[in-house]
Amino acid sequence: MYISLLSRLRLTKYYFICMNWIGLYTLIRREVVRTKRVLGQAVITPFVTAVLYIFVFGYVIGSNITAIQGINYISFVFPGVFTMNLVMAVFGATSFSIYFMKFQKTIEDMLTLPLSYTELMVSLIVGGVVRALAITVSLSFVAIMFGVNTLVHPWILIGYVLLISILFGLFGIVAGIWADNSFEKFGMVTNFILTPLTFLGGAFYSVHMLPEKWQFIVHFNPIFYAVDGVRYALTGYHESSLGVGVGILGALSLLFLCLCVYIFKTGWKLRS
Amino acid sequence: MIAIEIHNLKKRYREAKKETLHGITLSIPKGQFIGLLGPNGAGKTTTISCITGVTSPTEGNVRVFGHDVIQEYREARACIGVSPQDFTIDIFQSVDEILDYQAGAFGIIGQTMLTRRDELLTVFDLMTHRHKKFQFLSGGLKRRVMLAKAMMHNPKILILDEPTAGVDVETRKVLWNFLKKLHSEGKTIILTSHYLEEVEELCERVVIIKDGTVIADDTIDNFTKDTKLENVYLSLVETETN
Repeated sequence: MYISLLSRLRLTKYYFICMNWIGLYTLIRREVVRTKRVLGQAVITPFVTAVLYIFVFGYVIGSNITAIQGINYISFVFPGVFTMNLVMAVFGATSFSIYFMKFQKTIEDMLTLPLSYTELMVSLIVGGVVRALAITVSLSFVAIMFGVNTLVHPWILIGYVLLISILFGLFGIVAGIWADNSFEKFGMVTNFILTPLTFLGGAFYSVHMLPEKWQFIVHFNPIFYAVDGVRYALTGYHESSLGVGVGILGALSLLFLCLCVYIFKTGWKLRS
Repeated sequence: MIAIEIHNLKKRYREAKKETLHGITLSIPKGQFIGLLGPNGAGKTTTISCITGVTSPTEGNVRVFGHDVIQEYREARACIGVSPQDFTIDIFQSVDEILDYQAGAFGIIGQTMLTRRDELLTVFDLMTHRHKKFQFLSGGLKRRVMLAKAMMHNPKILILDEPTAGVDVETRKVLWNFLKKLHSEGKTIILTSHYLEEVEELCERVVIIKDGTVIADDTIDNFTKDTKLENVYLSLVETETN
């Protein structure tokens, strides 16, 4: 019993040396408070965007489109709009957070704190996840408003929301650091990478609507797998292997995690 | 006991043509109040940045109470409170929030944090401004917040990079008294300042850096044996230039 207690104490000490839990909690609290500070941008903007997209594509145009695989167009397009808003919001949360820290030089302040790079990254990701969950709640009202009331696999939806948040949260950290203090570079990632990938990722159409020779290209787009997974969770319909999709999203998350660790460890564009 | 040990510290910034620091070696015993002087661009802030972890040294090493600032950054940083030259703060946070987050990052929460925060708000006369956002404070008040923030976790070492720049005479005197009190309690303090009367009043040792090299290192008594610190400083800096 004495040995067991001793080893437990050592384990506790080890964990406390490895992680600054209070510090991590403080950083997470700070990120959540920052999200609350920009609540309009964080939650209301995706809500308004989703309402407009669903109204135009789902309600007005969608009423003239026949059902896809037995699903009416508005129900088919909603997962796409949902994923698009989620990706943009989570990416925006982490990228702007780190970009703003560099712009205001508060990153220098962060570097003097007794916190590890992992703790700093986790706090940013959790901030992004909190924003993603808030958007999920907000967009569920949009779904109710337009009569999209299918939710076939709720736990799978939560799983995809978390996976998408982690992947695009990490991507946002890398982009925010890469952008230095340039608004132009910061905007480039959204305009030239995220927006095209979202529109070409099957958010508004079925991959089967594309000419056959172009269909394979969609399978190189990670947002396609994100949309497909969310669509499966909401409607039960999917167009690719879910296992492959989760594998690709998971592998990309791991890749960006390694990239983030490398960047923080070497201090690339963070330390002078 | 040695608080800070700097050995052969060299720094060359990526975009710079020449080295900013040329192998600085310095040993600061625990409890010493040291003034780091030098003209603009001499390397004072770079030296401080290497101690605090903001900048990575190109060569050499820095140890804080025996902890390497790169390998054991967590232990090293826990010993240091820093008030930088620039306002490296989220300007949308209130004074209370700034101090709360600073304490939390160093693992201080609950009643200890509240007591410490109120104590510092009183010392720096910030009680009436505690709910104001940093962006709406005057330059002097911002400087006071930076100082309170640096002291929030009661660090063993205090690094103050031009802490009284833009601060009114009254606050400066208050800060001087507070620093003297901290020094008497055994805190190690590094001060950089362009106000030489401040250094003369507070510091027991002065190190002068120029072009990334230590050109003089002595006690304040030896520096001011025959004349004022300002005269000695100017003669040293000008001699080096010539």
